[in-house]
Amino acid sequence: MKKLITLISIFALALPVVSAPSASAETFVFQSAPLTNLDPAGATVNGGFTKFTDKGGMYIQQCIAPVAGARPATCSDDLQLWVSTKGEMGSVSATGPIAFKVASTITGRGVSVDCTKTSCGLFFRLDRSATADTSEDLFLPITFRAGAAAPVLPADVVTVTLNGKQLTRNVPMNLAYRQSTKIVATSQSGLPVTLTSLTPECSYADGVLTALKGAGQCALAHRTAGNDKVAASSANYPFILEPGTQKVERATKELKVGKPKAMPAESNFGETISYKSLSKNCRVELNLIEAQKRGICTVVATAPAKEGMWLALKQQLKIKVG
Amino acid sequence: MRLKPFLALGTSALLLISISSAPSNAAQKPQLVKGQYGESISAIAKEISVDKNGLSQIIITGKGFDETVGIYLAYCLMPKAGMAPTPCGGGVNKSGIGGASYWISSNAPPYAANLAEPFRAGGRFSKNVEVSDRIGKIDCRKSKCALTVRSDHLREGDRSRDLFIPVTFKKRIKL
Repeated sequence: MKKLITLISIFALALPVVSAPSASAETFVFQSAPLTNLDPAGATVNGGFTKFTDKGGMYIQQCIAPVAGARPATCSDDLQLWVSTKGEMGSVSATGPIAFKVASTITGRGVSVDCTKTSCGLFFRLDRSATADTSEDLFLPITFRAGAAAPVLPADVVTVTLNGKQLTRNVPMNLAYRQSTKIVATSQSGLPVTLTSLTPECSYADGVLTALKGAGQCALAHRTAGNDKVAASSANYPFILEPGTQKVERATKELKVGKPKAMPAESNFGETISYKSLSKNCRVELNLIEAQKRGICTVVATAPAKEGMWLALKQQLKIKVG
Repeated sequence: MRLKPFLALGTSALLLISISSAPSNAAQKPQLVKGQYGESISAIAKEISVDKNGLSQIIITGKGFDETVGIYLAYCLMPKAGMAPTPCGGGVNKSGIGGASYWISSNAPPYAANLAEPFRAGGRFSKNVEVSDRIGKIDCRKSKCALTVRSDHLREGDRSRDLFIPVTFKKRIKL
């Protein structure tokens, strides 16, 4: 009995429940070692979730204390964790221990902030699956004891674009199944930027991001190693996946009277295409088209949708009959 | 009057575009095997003629595969129900012809960049698989051998995606 009480006491000392009073109705419980008098030269907050939200994954970031009612405006580019129950690449398990590195100086969006002078803390929020949902938002203040801070390196500025449009970290963008994409990533320091797909729903290779599903989410991550002049950098770029657009590829554009031609039997996604003539000067049988008179032959190509992958095809094709 | 020949031509044109077949087996209809997730494979694999080395090529096409799940396509001894297909013939041949096995994955780990090939849009693939009347010491004229599809090693033990098309061979003619 005495042993049991000792164990509970040790546990209580090591992992006091940290749960700030909040007006929001967060459903998770995060327990950790104390968040005060942390080492300014660098510290790790060890803890874990004893209860996790069922609304999705969560991000934990070290941020400057927000103004009342708002989300923090400045958060560290590097000191952040993605917590999930699904085990996605790049995430940590919601059921395991959480080791969160904190720093007395954080750099976010090119701005460095001294957390020994400015109020900082750990900010919990739902991940990209519910970016606008603030019901799980929670800010837990942290403090640092007096002492020398670790040397602070300036932040690197990394720019990632998709088809020329700049991506914003943690802000989702729509991406269609098999949409043609070109990703370009550059760093101000000139250091190489490593890009990886964090989820199997998308693949990344050779500057091309490909959505392999037409529903759900995926995420791209960037990472730079840093050097003696600039800090390491990392960020996630989420995508909301949407159904792809079917097309008739390599369709016949010209016909000669009396000489049938074959149209593609399948769409770009492999669905069987049905053709119907809208013109009197041509007719269609299966995927074969034949013209009887000169002019323009108009046919409609249709193919079924596939749920969670692509939309139905309905494409009008105009074929010149010579 | 012109409708009949037009229809006949239409049918053959559709088949020529949508189905690939080995020249020596062009008269056969391909065998279609459907999986439980909407995927299917198709190949002409009956009464296959082999060359003097006991080899032949079969074109196998697949469609509707889940592109987030990698697969192995291989020519193997037909396994017992619920077991993984093994042994299998040959190895990966990156030249694109004559391979007896392929790894198809759109999301292979970084170490597999030059080993796996991605699915085409729509979860499709088309591969030329080398088959033989023997897999090692196994005589595929006596034992049942098959073109097989299964989940890759990242889903080892997942038998829900196994698909098989048995391969049979023409009888040898004794001179």
